[in-house]
Amino acid sequence: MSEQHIITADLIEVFITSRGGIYQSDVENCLYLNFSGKTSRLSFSSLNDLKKIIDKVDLGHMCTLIEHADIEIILIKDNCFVLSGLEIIYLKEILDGAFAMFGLNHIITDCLDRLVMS
Amino acid sequence: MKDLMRIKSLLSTEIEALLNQQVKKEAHSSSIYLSMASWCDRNGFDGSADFFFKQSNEEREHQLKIYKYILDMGGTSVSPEVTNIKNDWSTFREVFEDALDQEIAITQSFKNIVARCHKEQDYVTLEFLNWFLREQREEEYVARRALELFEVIGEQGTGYWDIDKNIGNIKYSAE
Ligand SMILES: [Fe+2]
Repeated sequence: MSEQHIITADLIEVFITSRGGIYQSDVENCLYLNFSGKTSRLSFSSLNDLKKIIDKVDLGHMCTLIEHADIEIILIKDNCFVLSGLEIIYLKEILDGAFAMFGLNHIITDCLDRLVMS
Repeated sequence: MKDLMRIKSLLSTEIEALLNQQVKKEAHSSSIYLSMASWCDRNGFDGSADFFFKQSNEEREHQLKIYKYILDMGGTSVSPEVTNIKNDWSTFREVFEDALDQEIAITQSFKNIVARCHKEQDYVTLEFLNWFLREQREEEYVARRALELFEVIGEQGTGYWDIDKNIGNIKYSAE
């Protein structure tokens, strides 16, 4: 379902790497995660949930599993991510970058909001 | 670019996490007090058992107050897992020593959240927390007074009986 969404001109690039990226739509108040050949449409809180899960994945433990080794399945609302250990590292990089940008954007917006308009 | 993070919630990730930790601490307090009520009851200290049942309810209310605040501000509150509840004490006095220790720990924990609110200039949460700071004044006062009864009344003779009868009378009356 999410594959049907096409990245359109109103999308703002939040953070990209050579492996994928996150874009924001101010029109739809949502985010698009472009990763491993798939585009997922996520609300801010879903993306936040995804980050929390990715941050908790124990990569060391994942690598030592004998059965179903090196695979993590993550369900967020309508989206399902099946990720290898390497993909988790790549996705983590994208998410960390995007959240750093969200933080920065928040600081800037906050400063602008506080300016006394004359 | 819209600040979607701020649109979603008034709380920063860090403050939301600290408040959720506090929810857990209040739940833990509530359970400990319940356990203390059980110990007092089965050792014949009815007055103290009543006192701890009431304290346990209060802690549960504190927990819900924070829990709902997180939700009201657009955050995600997490229902905590409560484990490691002590259920035996060697003396009547030790129960009250633990009660005071626990209240001190809770006060310190609130101070930590307040410090973070100052750092982030989250004056909204700061104002919400004022109620708890005030509440901690009373909680510590009562716990300290209860423990002092062991000195004032003494533990000899019918001391324990007197202490137990007076625990419920401790009131904090300051504004
Ligand atoms: Fe409390």
